[in-house]
Amino acid sequence: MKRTRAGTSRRDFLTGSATAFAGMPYLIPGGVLARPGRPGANDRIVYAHIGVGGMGSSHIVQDAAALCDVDGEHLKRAAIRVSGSPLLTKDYREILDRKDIDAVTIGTPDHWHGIMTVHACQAGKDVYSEKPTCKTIQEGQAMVNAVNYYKRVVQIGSQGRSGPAARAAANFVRNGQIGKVSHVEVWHPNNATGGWGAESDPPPVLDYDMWLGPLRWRPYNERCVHGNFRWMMDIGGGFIRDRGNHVLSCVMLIMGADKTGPVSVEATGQPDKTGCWDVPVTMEAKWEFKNPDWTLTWSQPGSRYPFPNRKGYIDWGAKFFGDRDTLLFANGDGGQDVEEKAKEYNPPAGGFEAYKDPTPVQDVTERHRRNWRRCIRTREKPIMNIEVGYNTIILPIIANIAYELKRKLRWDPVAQRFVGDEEANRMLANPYRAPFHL
Amino acid sequence: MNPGNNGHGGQTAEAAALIDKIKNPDESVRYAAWQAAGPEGASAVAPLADLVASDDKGVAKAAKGALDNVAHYGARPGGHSDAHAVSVALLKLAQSSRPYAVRAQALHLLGFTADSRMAAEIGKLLEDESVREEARMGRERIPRKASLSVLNKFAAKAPSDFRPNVAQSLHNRALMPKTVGTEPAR
Repeated sequence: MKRTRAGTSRRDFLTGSATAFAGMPYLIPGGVLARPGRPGANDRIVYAHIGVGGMGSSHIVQDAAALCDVDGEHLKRAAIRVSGSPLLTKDYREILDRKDIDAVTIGTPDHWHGIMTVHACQAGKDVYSEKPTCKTIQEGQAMVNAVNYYKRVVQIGSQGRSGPAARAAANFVRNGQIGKVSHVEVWHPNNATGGWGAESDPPPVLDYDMWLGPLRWRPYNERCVHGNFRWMMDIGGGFIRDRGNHVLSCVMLIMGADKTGPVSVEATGQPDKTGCWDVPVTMEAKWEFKNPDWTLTWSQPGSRYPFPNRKGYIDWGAKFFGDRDTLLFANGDGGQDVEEKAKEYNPPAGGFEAYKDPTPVQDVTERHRRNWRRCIRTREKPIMNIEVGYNTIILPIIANIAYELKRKLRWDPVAQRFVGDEEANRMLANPYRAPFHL
Repeated sequence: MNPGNNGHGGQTAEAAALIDKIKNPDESVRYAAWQAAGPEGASAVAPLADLVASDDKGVAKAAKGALDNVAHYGARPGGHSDAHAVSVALLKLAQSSRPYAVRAQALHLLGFTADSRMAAEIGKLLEDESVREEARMGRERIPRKASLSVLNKFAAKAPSDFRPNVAQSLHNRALMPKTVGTEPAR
């Protein structure tokens, strides 16, 4: 198979696209903003969507100004759902160059989240980026810096934060109803196993070079693209970085630990003996926190505990162990649940009360999106803002590094570096294939 | 590291035994060998790398996993001499005429194991069109000034089509945690 390269720099691209846009109708008037970067209460926010397959397709609004996907089939399916004549492109940079677009959703595979979010902030767009937040520590730092420097509203798509069960559990635990929590156990079913697939030329409908983007070049294999990226360690990182991002986000909320981090991490796992995927099929990870002292564990396989008064086991979720009681929290995304005792609990006056959506809708994902849209107008921080999103994703990122290195690592949560392990610190950033960079 | 390892890439009896297990038709035998391969050290690098290109995908996977483990074990805290020996063996692979996948993986692993003593030798591979991008990315991970100066020197003489890539590495090396993401991409 011929090895190709992403061959244009951003500057080349900008030069070329200016010519391309000369004959293009100006679809949406950009002057609707009350002032640059801040729509007025009644102004229309112009959206575009980057990555419109899978979960990315769920964010599409009917009047989207532009759609981007490296797979022409995804684009075609998405375009049917949009009225008018949206820009259809395989290169997200075309969307970022459009001055009339206020906000973008990013629903690509994980290796694009960090770089696209940073570039979108630099282009003055507000962003809803799917979880996980990013792939490396350096990407997370870049995202936080870019959001604050360019004053953008960025929501990470860990919609569990917007769920009523997470809120109830946070109120219950943080007001001391189970006592002092010393351990939180998180579990989830195994990562997938699969066949080898075959290396081949990519299908004409897919711009494989752009799909890879900043990744090290590798031959196309249908078993390693689209939804299967999740099972590649250097792209998706397994369930711990996927649904782990959901449930760990809720754990950090419930524990009031959003501004803290672990001081050590260790992880073991059993990779698939066969097949082209390389994430561990089963995995055990442990993080230690100090001041207050507690431990957090992640275990695959899942289905660890039955939910009280119901049939069957909870596929994935968390159990909080306090010195007076325990609390079970199921799942962590939109399908979350919590024991009745937490749902029935009302915080006392002056006690902790988690953020409550002023206009909640039943669907948790839509509630999460509405929180972002409201914040675009008010310029407030969304519920799963970039600082929270980055703090959450540190957990699975460093656990995967500990798994790969097969040793316990010490982590400095303030410096955001490993202590006494140069090799581990070399994994805080991944070199990007040119021309992509932060 | 295995006490029988001579540290210079010559294959030891232990490494030969590892290779036999990695080639075993029983996936459980291969798996156990792959998981335990880390301490085998530099002498296992070349024979494992040759199996990474095996037509038997199960053998290739076990060999690649074992090679990764050897590199990461060598680069453990306090394992400086092991890391250097493994790096020398990986560099030979990267400089060889082995298949692209093997040379690319060697350069990737050198990013974790190599120190600035290797910088100039890895830098020479920036001139090899077949692996220069992989050499650039591997080089980017290696800290310290000596490593940076190799990139700087090469930037001046790099072919025009590769100069932006080298400039990208120099840009990335200059990124600071507190400001990364604030400079618009160029």
